[in-house]
Amino acid sequence: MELIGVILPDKQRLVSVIADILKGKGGIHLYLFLIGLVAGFYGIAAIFIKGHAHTINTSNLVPWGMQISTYVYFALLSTGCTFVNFFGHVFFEEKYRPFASRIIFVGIITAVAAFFSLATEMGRVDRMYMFLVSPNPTSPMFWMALWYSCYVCIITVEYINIQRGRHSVRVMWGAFFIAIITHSTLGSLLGTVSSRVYYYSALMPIYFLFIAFLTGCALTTIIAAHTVKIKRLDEAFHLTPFVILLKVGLGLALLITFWRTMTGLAGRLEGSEVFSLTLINSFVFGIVVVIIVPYLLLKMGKSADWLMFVGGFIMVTQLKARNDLVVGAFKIPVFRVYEMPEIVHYTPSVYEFLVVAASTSLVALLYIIFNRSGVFDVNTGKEVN
Amino acid sequence: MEDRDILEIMHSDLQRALKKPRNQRRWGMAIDLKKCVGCHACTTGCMSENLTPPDIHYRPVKEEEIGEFPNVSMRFLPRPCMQCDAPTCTPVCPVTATYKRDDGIVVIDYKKCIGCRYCLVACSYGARSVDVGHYYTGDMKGETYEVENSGEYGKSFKRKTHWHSPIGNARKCHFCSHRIEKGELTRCTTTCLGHATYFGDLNDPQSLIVKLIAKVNVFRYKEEMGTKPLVYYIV
Amino acid sequence: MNVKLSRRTFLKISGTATAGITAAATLPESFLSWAESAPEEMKQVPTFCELCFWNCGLIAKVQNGKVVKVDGNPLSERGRGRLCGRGNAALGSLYDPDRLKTPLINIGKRGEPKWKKATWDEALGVIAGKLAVIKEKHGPDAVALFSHGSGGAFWKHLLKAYGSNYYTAPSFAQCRGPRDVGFTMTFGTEVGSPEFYDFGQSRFIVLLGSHLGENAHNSQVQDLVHGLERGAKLCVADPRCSNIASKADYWLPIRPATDLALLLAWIRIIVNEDLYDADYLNRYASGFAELKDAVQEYTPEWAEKETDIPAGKIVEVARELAAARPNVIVSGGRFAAWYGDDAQRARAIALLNALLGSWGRPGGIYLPAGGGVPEYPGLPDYPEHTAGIPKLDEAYPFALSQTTTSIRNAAITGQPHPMKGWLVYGCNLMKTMPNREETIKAINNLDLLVAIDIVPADIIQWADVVLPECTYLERHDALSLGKFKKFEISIRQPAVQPMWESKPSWWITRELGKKMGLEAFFPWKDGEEYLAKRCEAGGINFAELKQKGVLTMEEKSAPYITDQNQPTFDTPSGKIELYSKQLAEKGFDPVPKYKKHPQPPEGHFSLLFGRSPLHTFSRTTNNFLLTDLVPENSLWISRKKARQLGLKDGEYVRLQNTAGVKSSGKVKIRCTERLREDCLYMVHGFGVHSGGMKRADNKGVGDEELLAGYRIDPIMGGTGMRSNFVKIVKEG
Repeated sequence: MELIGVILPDKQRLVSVIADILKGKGGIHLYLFLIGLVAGFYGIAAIFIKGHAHTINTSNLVPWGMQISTYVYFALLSTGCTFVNFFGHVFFEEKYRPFASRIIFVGIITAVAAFFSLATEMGRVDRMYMFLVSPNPTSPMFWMALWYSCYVCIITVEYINIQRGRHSVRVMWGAFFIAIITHSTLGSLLGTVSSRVYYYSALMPIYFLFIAFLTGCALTTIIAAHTVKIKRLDEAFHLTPFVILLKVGLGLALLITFWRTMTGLAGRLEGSEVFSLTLINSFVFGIVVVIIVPYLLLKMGKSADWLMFVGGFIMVTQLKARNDLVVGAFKIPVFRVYEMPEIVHYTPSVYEFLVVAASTSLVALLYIIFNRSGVFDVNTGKEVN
Repeated sequence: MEDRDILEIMHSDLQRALKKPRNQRRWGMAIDLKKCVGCHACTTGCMSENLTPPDIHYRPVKEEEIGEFPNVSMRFLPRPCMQCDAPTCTPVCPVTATYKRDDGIVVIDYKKCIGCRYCLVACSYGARSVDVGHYYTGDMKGETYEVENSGEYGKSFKRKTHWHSPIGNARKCHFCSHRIEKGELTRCTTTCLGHATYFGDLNDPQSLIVKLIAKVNVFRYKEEMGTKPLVYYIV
Repeated sequence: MNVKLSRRTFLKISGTATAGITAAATLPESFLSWAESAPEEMKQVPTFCELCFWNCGLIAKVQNGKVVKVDGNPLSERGRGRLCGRGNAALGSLYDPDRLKTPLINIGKRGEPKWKKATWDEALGVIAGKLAVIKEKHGPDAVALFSHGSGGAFWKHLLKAYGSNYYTAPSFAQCRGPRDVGFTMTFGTEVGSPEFYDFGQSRFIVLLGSHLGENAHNSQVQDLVHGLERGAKLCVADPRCSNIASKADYWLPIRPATDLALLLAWIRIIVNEDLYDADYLNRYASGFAELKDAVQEYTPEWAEKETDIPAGKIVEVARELAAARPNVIVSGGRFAAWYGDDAQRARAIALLNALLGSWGRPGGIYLPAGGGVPEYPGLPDYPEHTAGIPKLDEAYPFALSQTTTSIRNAAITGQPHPMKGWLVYGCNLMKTMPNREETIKAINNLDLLVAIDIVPADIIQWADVVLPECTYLERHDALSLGKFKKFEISIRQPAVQPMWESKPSWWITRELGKKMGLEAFFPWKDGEEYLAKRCEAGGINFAELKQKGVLTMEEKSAPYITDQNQPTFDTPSGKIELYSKQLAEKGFDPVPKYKKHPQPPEGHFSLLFGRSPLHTFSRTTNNFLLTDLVPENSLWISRKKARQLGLKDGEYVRLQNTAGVKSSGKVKIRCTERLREDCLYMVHGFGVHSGGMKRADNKGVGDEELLAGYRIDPIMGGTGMRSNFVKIVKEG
């Protein structure tokens, strides 16, 4: 199987792209991402060298913070890309084809970038091999690790297939279902925790799936719009699927967020007051800003630039919304003693933001470099079973 | 009740239990809230015994005010780990680092724990903490006792850097399992000024603790969550 | 309650069985694990605690030359194997990096010190030199010692060898002195320290403000809880519902400063309704008729108006209390320096106990066992005192020991004779004594101020020389003699070597003594030899004492009055004096008379203070284990009042007293239902202003800063420090 030129960029073109970058002809956004990458990896190194005590703001009261929400976010993005890939192929074949390889590739690298954030969160990353040595089948986290590995494998196969022009429908369906399983397992990781009312819900796996779809749509819209602009494709033709998917995504997100908030408010379990505490936030931010505003923005225009803006808007707001989701469960301490506050506030530290920067920049840089080296224009698009 | 010091009675209960094989013991604790005066000796005794770092308290004491002036009173509730029979923390650990031992204590294997903190999220009582590597005295190395071995779980762990367990691990009350194995009662039991803490083998019908909890004025904290805790409160 | 623990049990329960942790030969369980070697052996050293004055026996566990854990010593009656919240935090004191490390000499100004690190030789040389000069110019009686702590015995010895008689403990005039005098006027003796309260056998216990449990008087708390468990009834008279009040059958939220009214009303009910122990009084007491006459004006209705407690309640409690006689106790508490008439209030408590026959009875105040250990043999006699030196405490005729009040006064005024040198051992005078300005004035008149301490407390800012003493885990000290129901002897011995340049008091005083030419008074080779010789002289098995930590002498134990064991009263009449002629002769009330104390003016509150179970005033405010739990004090205020004033829980405010002085720090508000609306409450000891104590510096507020005035008890020189009215100033 040919790797270079098909799955990985052609060597010569890659070299010329990098030479361009080094000469300063990369474009401002690329250099910004480069700075982000360097700063981000400095942050990650600092976390490993200095230890959590001096770098991270999570504590016994807030054990999961921005690092976990970043991990969740990137996992969402990856799953979303796979969903869009599936719906794109199945329902919008021609319109979608130019973007397939790009979107799957981004699906892979976001999954990998998610791991960087996760690695900085673990107390003892060097012990990850314990997943193999003494796994615990009752733990959603174990299953998530397992399915995640399968997922990365299968979307890599999907990518290879697309690149080689031998797109297998079976693999595509397989990737789709494995994405669903993986991501709903991630949702169940939160949803099965009965001691945190903010998490405990049968809706949680579904919530993750719908939000993944929305966020994935947003990211893929940006990719598609960007590609359309560069390659001067027909906007109206190629971008329609993404607008439709976005609208569907926004609708699904609205539905699930609404019901999650409602059932939470209706509950009278210990800790349910966190839903009313965060009501303004979940309503104003969780619904209006994240969902309704983008919908209105969509109505305002359909051009590639505008769609890139809308996609970016959704992505940024979703990042904050994920943080609210993860941290919300810890707002009220389970057992309040000594000087513990009644409502716990958590602000991520600088290093946690740097980790986000690292993951984002990594994804962006890899995509830009691969894109510029023309790897994604190789496929000839033959459908194979 | 005889005027013998309850420590002596519980001590003989303990020796009797240690003669049985480990899987026939079931360690439980009872705390008499009538006698707890809110002195927090158990909290600091535990901190001293297990050499816990800042912000980690295996056994804090909650003080609750009841009523309105002048009809007001207080309740003091020490909260060790409940060592639940149906814990919410052990099913979620991805690497089986925490599990319920055959003698009833929910233990953490410091060599396996990866520090993912899922168990902290899952505990309904907030009884678990994560050791991120804080020291009381900044980074005073050299003279500090904080890197010494606390002997938890009968093993030797020195908190030298953040790549040394138990830093990075979850930590919690383990009924002083290192003391029990040597035939000593838990630290909180032996230091309780109000003589309010009782400890013993719940499988032994002759032990003091079993006689105390078989009454109507006994409750368990958050029992409705179905966790089946092994710490009983007497009111 | 007595613990019958055999020696074998003692070894096992306290974990001192020398089995240690068996180092099972473990192959490294995982080839990727770091540095997990087999656990080492732990050495166990019995000693006693110094985190507070209760001195509970403890066992230090040493590993690798470091103390890693502490456990209680079951043989010690003071703790019975338990350690309180502070005792367990021993390591926070031993390994406190802010500890004094070397002797320091102040080359700056008093109050704005510039420290020069000195060798012991240098520092002690300066002190010896200055002391010699003072002796020449003013005589040795111009030097005084303030002492608190187990090493104080050596300093007292040094002072007496030097020729001065002026050793004082703030714990008299600023703490339990009034109580001791009140009881001495009545029964001829004080109630001990630790006190001889027999809570464990009691059927009715009365506490006046004594917040046992929050002041963790170890064995006393154990006894009290045990007594309650056996069915004792409890009445607590306290403006605040303390922790122990929550277990009381009667909590009387008494108006501050009116406790004497309550006591006198109770006395009246008991004498009028014949509820006293007539037999007992017939045999042992005198002055009943005069007492009865004197209390007639104190009716329950009158008391209700004073104390804000319903008259019916007052009567009910008195009757219930008397019904349980003689196995009752009206506790004298401990800290009694409240309003300036405290000796009389303590006398009222003593009178109540006398009427109910509780002195020498089970459940009341037991008769302590006698006993002693001789001093080091062969010491020369102390120099004779020049007759004609006016007594410092002539002003306070019934003071049982030298008061700090008159020593400070002498330093300020030079009357009745000048004070030129102070040795301050373990007393943080700036926070102990009321009115900081007066203390500073006194200090500025001194030629020498030496502070001997463990941490850089506020007092060292004013010292000329600072000497670092090592902590209790690093030193030998004088024997601790406990007179409880049995007599017990406790040893202090070092668990580890002293850190940095800190030294034990036996060494410091010996070296200083040598420089002062007093070598003959310090013949011991080291602390161990000092103790060994004393034990030898007293016929005590020193090796056994070292190994067990505590030896109990069973003989001479006779806590209760029986036909064979009759009490003696060291009063002028030889009986319990219900009517005190000696007080009358000196112009004081022979039977306490009620004096109304001022209540807070409009917009102000009474500022009450007390203790936290996790702190011992400023001594522990830098202990890193304890500050992890309680880093600062908070201001308790009634929730209703807080709402009226618009204050929120957790808000930081300042306090301002009636003289307009504002507190130098801020304190956190704590809203509570447990307090009367006219009071505020805070824990004493915070508001430390000493940069060297990094965790304690500037945390919280010290109530003593806001004392606009204090009243001196004319009977014994105690300084009443509770008449403190403040208002809350919101931070702008």
